[in-house]
Amino acid sequence: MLMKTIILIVVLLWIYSLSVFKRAKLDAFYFLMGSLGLFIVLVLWSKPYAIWLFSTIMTWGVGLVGDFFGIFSTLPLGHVIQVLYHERIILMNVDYECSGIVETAAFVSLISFYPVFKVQQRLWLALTGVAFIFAANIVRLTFVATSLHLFGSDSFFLAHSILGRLLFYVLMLTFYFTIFTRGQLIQVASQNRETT
Amino acid sequence: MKKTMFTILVLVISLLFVSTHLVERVSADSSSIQIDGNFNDWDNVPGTQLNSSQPADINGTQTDFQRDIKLSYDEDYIYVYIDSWYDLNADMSNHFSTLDKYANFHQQYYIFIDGKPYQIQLGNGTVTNGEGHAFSVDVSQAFGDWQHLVHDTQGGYVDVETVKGDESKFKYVYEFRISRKDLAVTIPENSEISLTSSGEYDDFEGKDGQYFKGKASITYVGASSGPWIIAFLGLLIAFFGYRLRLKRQTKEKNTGA
Repeated sequence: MLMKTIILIVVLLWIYSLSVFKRAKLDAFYFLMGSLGLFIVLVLWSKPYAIWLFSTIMTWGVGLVGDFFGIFSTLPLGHVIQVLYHERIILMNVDYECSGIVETAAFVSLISFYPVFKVQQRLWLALTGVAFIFAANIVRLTFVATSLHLFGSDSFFLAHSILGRLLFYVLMLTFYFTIFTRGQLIQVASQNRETT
Repeated sequence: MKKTMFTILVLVISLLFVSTHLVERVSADSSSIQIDGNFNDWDNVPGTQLNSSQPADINGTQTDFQRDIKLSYDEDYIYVYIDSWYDLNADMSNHFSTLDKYANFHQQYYIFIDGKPYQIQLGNGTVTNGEGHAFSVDVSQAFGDWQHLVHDTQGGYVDVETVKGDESKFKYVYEFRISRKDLAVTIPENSEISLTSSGEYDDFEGKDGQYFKGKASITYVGASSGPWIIAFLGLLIAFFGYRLRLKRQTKEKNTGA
């Protein structure tokens, strides 16, 4: 209860500071304060409540790919990916960091306060982002599980911490670049064309 | 403006308080495997088939006498599944006292977590054909100080049934769980969890156990996937994009003017 009260007070202070920045037309500060604040709220909220949901959905999604190719299987409720390497059984846990919840919270926070897009655009982009992060994470986990299936647990560090991470980062950076730079530059160009 | 702020406030508070009740309710009974005698939740778990260390029949033949052992875990428990069958013609008095399929399931196993041994003691009890029975699970540290760590009164379930197509044999299936919290052990990354039935106090692993030969094992792998880095990079790209937009807007306005 104490924790919830503290969170509530912080949220009220955050909303007040947002209104100050908005009235002062300090768009950059509004964006920074808004997205950082929402990110912290989402991460705090997700720790006790949403991890289970995200991990379950993610494990289920990876399980669909595993079942389709017959390479590995999953226990969605246990957040476990089970990989068979010759006679050995390797278990990989889809935990808080693996579930994609931090990346999703970050993207939703950024897009919610980005001063460029309209409300409807933000909503669609947020949904697209959630779907993209989900798919990118499935690609990453499928890659790691396939490596474990082919090369065993010794390949885990290379597959998970280096190559898998690199793959995910490339996908995410491409997505961020498309949304936050290329997409809005096209929007500016079309807006200018409309005004002229 | 006020409307937007009010909407944000309502959304955040709703998110915090409504989700508390919803998600807690959903996740409260969310163990990957339920210890309830319904073994369907093990269907998707790969197992290890080990030969029994006991004879299958009166002649000492061990043909087709195997135990299917499965191990799994989640954030709360380590789970064990043992499926085996017996020939009623066999001299299995230590397990089945009469031919009316009456089984005593009091058994002892050892689990190794990253090489550290723990003794598992399944509770006393008897069960008849076609019936299930819950039993308690106790776990103690098996080396050094003999410390009792886990006592779970509803930690296991055993079911006994006749093998379909061969009425002279029947099988019993165990499932039980070990609380990771009570065990107070951190499972290190890239470590092995294995189950044996060896009663030897030295060199537990690899010896022929009381119930089966060798060990069933799983390898746990895990590591951070670095989500904070990508969140930070996202913020940088968004901020950079916004700056770029402002510059371009100013430049195009100036060009237009």
